[in-house]
Formats: sequence, C-alpha cells, structure tokens
Amino acid sequence: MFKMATSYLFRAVTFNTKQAYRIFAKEICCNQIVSTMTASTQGFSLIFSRTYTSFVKTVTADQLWLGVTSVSNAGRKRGRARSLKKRIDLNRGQRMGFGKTRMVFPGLTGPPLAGKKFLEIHKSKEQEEEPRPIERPRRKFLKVPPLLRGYSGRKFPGTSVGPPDPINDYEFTGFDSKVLEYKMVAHMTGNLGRKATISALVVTGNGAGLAGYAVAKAPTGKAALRKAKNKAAQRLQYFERYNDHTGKFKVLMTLKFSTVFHNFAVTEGKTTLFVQKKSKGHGVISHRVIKTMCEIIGIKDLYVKTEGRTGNIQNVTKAFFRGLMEQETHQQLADRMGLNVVEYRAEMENIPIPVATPSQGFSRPDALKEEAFDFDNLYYKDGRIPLKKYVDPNMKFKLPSTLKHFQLENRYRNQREARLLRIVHGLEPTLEELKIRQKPLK
Amino acid sequence: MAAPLKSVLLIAKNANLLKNNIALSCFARHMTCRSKEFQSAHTSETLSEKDPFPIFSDKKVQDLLYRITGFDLLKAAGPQKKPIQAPSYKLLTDEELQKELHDARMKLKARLQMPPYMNPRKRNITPLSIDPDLANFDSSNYVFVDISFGVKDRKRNVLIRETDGTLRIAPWDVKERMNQIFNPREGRHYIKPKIFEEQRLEKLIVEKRFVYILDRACCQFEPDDPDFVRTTHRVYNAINNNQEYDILRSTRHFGSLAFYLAWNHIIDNLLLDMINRDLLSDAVDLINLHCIIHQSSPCSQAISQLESPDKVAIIQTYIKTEATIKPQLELSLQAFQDASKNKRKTN
Amino acid sequence: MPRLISKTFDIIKLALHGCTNRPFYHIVLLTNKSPRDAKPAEQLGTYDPMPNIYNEKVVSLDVERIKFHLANGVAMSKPVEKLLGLSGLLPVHPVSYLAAMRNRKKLQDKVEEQPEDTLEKGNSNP
Repeated sequence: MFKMATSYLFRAVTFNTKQAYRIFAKEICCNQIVSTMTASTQGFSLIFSRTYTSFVKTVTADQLWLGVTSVSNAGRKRGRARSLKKRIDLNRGQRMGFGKTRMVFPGLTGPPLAGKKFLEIHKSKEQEEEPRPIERPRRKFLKVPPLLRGYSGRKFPGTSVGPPDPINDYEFTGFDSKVLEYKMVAHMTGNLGRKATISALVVTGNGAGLAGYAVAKAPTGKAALRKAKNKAAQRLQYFERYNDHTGKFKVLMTLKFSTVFHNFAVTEGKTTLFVQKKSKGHGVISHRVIKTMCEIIGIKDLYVKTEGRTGNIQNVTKAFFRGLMEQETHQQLADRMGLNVVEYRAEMENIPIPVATPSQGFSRPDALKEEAFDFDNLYYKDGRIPLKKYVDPNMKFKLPSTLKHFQLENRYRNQREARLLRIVHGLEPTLEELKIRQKPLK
Repeated sequence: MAAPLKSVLLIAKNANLLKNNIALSCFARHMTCRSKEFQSAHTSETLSEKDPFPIFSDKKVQDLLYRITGFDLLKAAGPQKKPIQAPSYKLLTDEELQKELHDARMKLKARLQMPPYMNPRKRNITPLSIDPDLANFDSSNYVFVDISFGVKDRKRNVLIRETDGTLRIAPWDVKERMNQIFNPREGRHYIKPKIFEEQRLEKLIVEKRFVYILDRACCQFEPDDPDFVRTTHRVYNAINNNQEYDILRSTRHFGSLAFYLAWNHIIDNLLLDMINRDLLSDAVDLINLHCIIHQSSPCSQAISQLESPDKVAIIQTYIKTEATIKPQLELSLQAFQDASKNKRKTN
Repeated sequence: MPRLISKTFDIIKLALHGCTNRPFYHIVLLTNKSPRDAKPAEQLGTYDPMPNIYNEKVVSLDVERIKFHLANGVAMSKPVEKLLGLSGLLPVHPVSYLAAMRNRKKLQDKVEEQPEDTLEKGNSNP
C-alpha cells in the first residue's frame, strides 16, 4: 500500500502541481496516519530535501517508537523497563481514503482506470455514509464512582470489601467492611532474603453499634484483606450510642441523631484522641480513619481532634474503639450519682428532658451544687481538660482589614434573598428587559 | 383669584388660628370619623351576619377550648429549626426536676394562645372628602401614614388621596402594607407569599403540612383578614374530611378548629375521633361548645332538660337529636362503655 | 448684597436623601439658615416621590409632633405645605389646585386632539 502511495505521489508531483499533493496530505492528516506515512517518506527524500522539516518525518514509525520505548539490556536488568509505555496503534479504527471530504485517489482508494482512461483525483459521488465512530481503546479498569473510591487514587484504604464470609450458615446481613490500612511489610529469611507480605487493617460492622477490627498478613493483598475481614467479624464489640434505635424518647428519636454519651480523651501509644459529643446536623468531623469507623459503627454526629502520631492507623483505631467502650452511659451516671440526668436542647426549646432516672426509682434527697457539675469536662482524666482557645466574636470590627471586608460584605447582605423574592413575585426584570435598559438613552 | 389664595395661605400659617385648632379641625374630624367607623364595624356586621368573635373570646368558651386542645410538653416544644448547638446537662433531684418541668409547662402553655376566630372584615368606602377641583393633581395616589409615637398598628390612621381628588381611609391591604413598612414584623412579608395561592395551598394540604400553613397564615395576616379566613377554613375542612385532628392537638390551632366545626354544625367526625381515643370529657366539652354557640338548637334544649347530665347521657342526647352519623357514633360509644366495664371487672 | 432679613426661625422642610436616580425625602425640622441636609432638630416624617408597584407615593407624618410645632408657629416650606394639604391636615394648597387645573387642561386638549385623529383614521380605514 505504501508503495502505491509513493508511486502515486511521484506522479502527482511530477505531472501535477503542488495542489494535488496538498489535497493528499490533507486527506492523510484527516485519517491521522502521519506516523505511518513517515515510514514511507524515505523513498522520495528528493521532495523534502528542499524543506528542512523535523527529523520525525525522516525516520520510520518503528524507529520512532524504539527511540521512545527502548531500554538497554543492562537497564532492563535493573528494572528500568518496568514502567515502560506500550506502543499505541494510532491507526486503529481508521480506513485509508475515507476522510471527511471523501476524495478518491485512483490506484490508491479506487480503480486507477475507467475504461482506458487514467482517472484524475476527484470527489466521490457516492452518497455520504454516516461517519463511523472511531474505535477507541477500551478502559483497562471500570470507573469507580467517587463515593466508593478510597481516600486517595486507586488505593485500598477507605474502600469497601463487602460483608464478612458466612460462618456455619450465619450470614452477616447488613454488615460492611472497610479497609483502614493496607501496606507491604517485609522480613529477612535465611533462604529467600527479604520476603515481603501484605498487611491489612479492616474494620467491619453493621452500622447499628456492632463493629470489630483486625490486622492480618498474607503474601497476596486479596488474601490479606479476606483474612482481616473475617478475623474482624470474629471480634465484634457492641457499642451503646446515644439515641440509637433503642432511644427512650419518641421525640428525640425523631431528631435522628446518633452520637457518643459524653466528651472524652483516649491515648494509645503516642496517639491521643479528643472526642466531643455533637448535636444533630453537625456530622462527623475527624481523621478520615475515624470517619470510616463512625460509618461502620453508626455514629452520625461527632468531632474528634487527633493529636500526636496521627499517621499510626492501628493506634488510632485501637484508641477510638477503647474510648467508645469505656464510656459511661447516662443510666450509669444516674445510678452512680443517684440523681436524674436531665437534658436541655436548643431545638426543643430548652425544656428539661429526663434522659435517665436512678434505677432505684427515686433520687437522693440532697441536691447537687451547681459548680460541682460540669458535664462537658466530667470525663477527662487526671484533672486535665483540653484548652479551648477564646475566639473573639467581634474580631471583624477590630482589625482594619477585617473591618473593611465586613463593611463591603455588609452592603450586600440582603441582596441575594431580596432578588430571589423579586424573582418569585415576577418583579425582577427579564433578560430582554435588562438588555433594553443597558442601551444608552437617546 | 390670587388674593383669596393668599389669604388661605395666611390662615394656614397663622399661629393663633392654629392654636385655636381651627385649621386642624379638618384632620381631627377625620380622626374621630375614622375611630367611630372602626368601632361600628362590628355592630354593622352583627346586623347582617352573626359575629363569632364575642362568643369565641368569652372566658367560658376559651377555657373549654383550652381543655379540648390538651397539652403534651414534648409536642408543644417540638423539634424546631435552630442553629446547631450542643445540648447541656444537669443532675437534678426529683423535686428539682418537677419544678423545672412545671416551669417549662407554664412557659410553653402561653404559646397555645389561640388565634381569634373572626368574620372577614369589610372595607370602609365612605370618602372623607370629595374635591373635584383637585382631580388629576398627580398621576399617582398619595398614601399618608400617621407614624406618631405609640400608635398601635390596628389603630393607625392611613389615608389615601386618590388621583380624582377624593380623600378616603385606605383599604385594609394598603394599611397592612404601610404597617409592614413603618413597623415591620418578623415573618410577615410586604407582598403576600405565593403559598397562599389556591394551587400551592392544595399541594401543601396533600402533603399534610397543616401546622405549617396555619402558622404562616398567623404570621402573615390579621385574624379578620379575608385571606386568613379563607386559608384557615380551607385547612380546617381538609382536616375534617381526612380526620387528621391529632396533628393539631396541643398546638394553638386546635381550639380554632373545634370552634369552626361547632360554628358550622359539623362536629360529628371530631366527636367520633374523640370517643375512639377515649377522650370522653373532651367529647362532652365539644357538645357543650356546640350548645353555647347554637343555644336554640334542639340538642342544647334537650341537654338543659336532662336530670342527671353525666358524660354518656350528654353524648347520647346529642346523638339522638343532631348527629348525622348516628350508627357509627353509637357503635363507638357502646364499644367505649364495654371496654370500661371490662376494666372495672378486671380491677 | 446681604440679605435684608437676617432673622433665624424654625422651618419644616424636605431634606433630600437616597442616592443617584433615586430621590427620597425626610420631612425635618431645621432652622431656615441651616443647609438642606443638615442634621435636623427632629425628623417628622418621610416622603417617597417615586410611585411604588401599586402606583402610590408614600408619605409618613408624625402628626402629633407636626401639630405641636405648627401650634408653636413654626414655618413650612412649600412642598411640605402641599403634602400636608393633600393629607387633610391643612386645607389643600392653592398650588395643588393650580397644578390639577393645568393637568386637566392638558388632558382635555389631548382628548380634543385625539377624536379628530380617530375620526380621520375612522374615515380612511373603511
């Protein structure tokens, strides 16, 4: 085919003007076969000798590909060929001479003779077919929806690995497992030298208080994940959450929050978590690993400040599980103090809602002194409470820069709502009206 | 013509005359005129149509309506939309808890004050002055609002000078717009919100957002606004047809609903609902309300002649005399009686 | 030439507020010599000269205070006199009558012109 093309080109250049060549080049470009054509350009270097073009046109496609993708034998041994790109077939799905303009090149894309006559280059008179969609190489991997992807890239941590495998006809319905950590660990052996295995930390649970975690190692990643998942299923713990499905008050149930019973701090190794109870609508704001654990356990509103070694995932997990387990429920508090635990919520008009009464049926007679009870800081140990920095609410009025910003913003504070209202009542000018308004007065 | 004009101006500027209150008499006359008409608005209505407001605001009726409404502390407090705030906790003894609960109840009971049940108001058309010489003085009407200190919204003078020169008391919608400009109220909009249009109202009623509509109506309208009357009656009818009375219990709208039903002789469904929920004393209160409103009705006369007016007897007389769904009412009453008998036996 | 009368007295007048292309007036109590938008001794009302979507020009008046000041012999500017006249607080200002008369005349002239046009049109059309 290339031979035919070259012969034709000779003819075109010698017999005809440059125009014919241009048309042919255009057709070629349309078909994106430049790279293959470079292979055939050697034959008529005469033509190109006058125009000093890129070297790309003077070497074959194979040579070009070799230049880009080749690695020396020594390099191949050292592993440089590992990330080598594969050769891409640029002509995939293309057909010679079937471009947008549908030109017919006699001898190349059509018969060279009609009767005894040589045909000139002409446009095809056939009815135009619908352009065939160009075949593209298929995706190597299926696209994962964003919410199902892990924390970063195509990596395991943060992704779901499905419910644990059933044990003796017990199926873990409603369970889900997520990978928290996935890494390669290695140790030295006398025989093999450095031997690598995969270590995975998986948490599994049913989103209703039942959850467990486990670390497992295996030579392959898949095996490690399966092992960890099933190990975690055998170490399930039940966590009482505040206002879960066994909630005592119907109205509180309708608020649909689920959080911890109180603020607390836990330390594991050099990792410390400061967990804060939050109200409905706050959401979970924490380390990404803790966020995943909250999803699995079924906690909806929480704030966690992580301090120290936050990269040590195993310690973070251990600390969070231990902290949740060591909580004191409101009922336990009521029993310990012999008093009613009463809650005041802003969204419930701050009415007293008794969330726990002593199980003996009545409270102790003497009242508690106001100062003695500080629920927010009740559960921090050793008398140390987290420092809460004072944030000045009037800061915007104090610095010249913030004040200026406030003043500028303040001017537009109602405009958005007012505009929406005008649109609702049909008082906002339409686009056409605005165009008329923009015109200068005459 | 110039000379008399000048003299008028002189008169206007003359302080002595002003002190003698001659020039001001014009406005003063308007004021008195206005207030008299405001007072007589009700009297004129009573002639044509019976006015429910005096009966509604009667202490006896109010007590009765409060009793029917019921009071559930948690429902009255209700989850409300507020910025996120962490809850606070206290450890209380039983006595302290009871006191706190009592305080909360007192605080929230005030919220159950019912919106008044009134007839729609009518426009005052009589002009204050007609001045054909002033016709076309301007291309738009002039609205004058009295913003004197301490004037209440309902008593505010709002006059309108129309383009044909007539000065008249502004219609109610203008008056309310002016009130919203010069004494804005939270939750009330200058232009009537679109949710009170028929179609949108229909949609909300299908979604059973009755309390939302009624609260918005209370916010937006005065109780004698024709739109308020239309909206509330629409919702009351929908509730009565679907028998969704429980949604309105321990809200401020239940009393008005019951009064509306009693006023229009359609309490049967509500009565049935009350008996089915074992709220017999409420049922009796409802029949009493009906009797107070319609004193000449056969039911009220029959009840007044009862020798031993216990609960069941009163309900039975109502069923005999006026009920439209007699068999259902009788059945549910019978069921209630049987159940109470069984209870007594087991006890 | 200096003013002959240099007496200072209180006057109720309009102070221009609002912004470009959007006038808005305050009805204020000032001395006759103070600038128009000076800080007033008292604000007695507002006047919005641009008709709203219901074609109304809104005037608010603190009637009680205005009555008090008028009784004390405070002067008024002409626009204020016109407004108070229309409100019924004072007799209608003669200038208002004059304006009304002129407007009516203009309208009448228009009406008189129009029928001829319509007649001509009516003749030509069929």
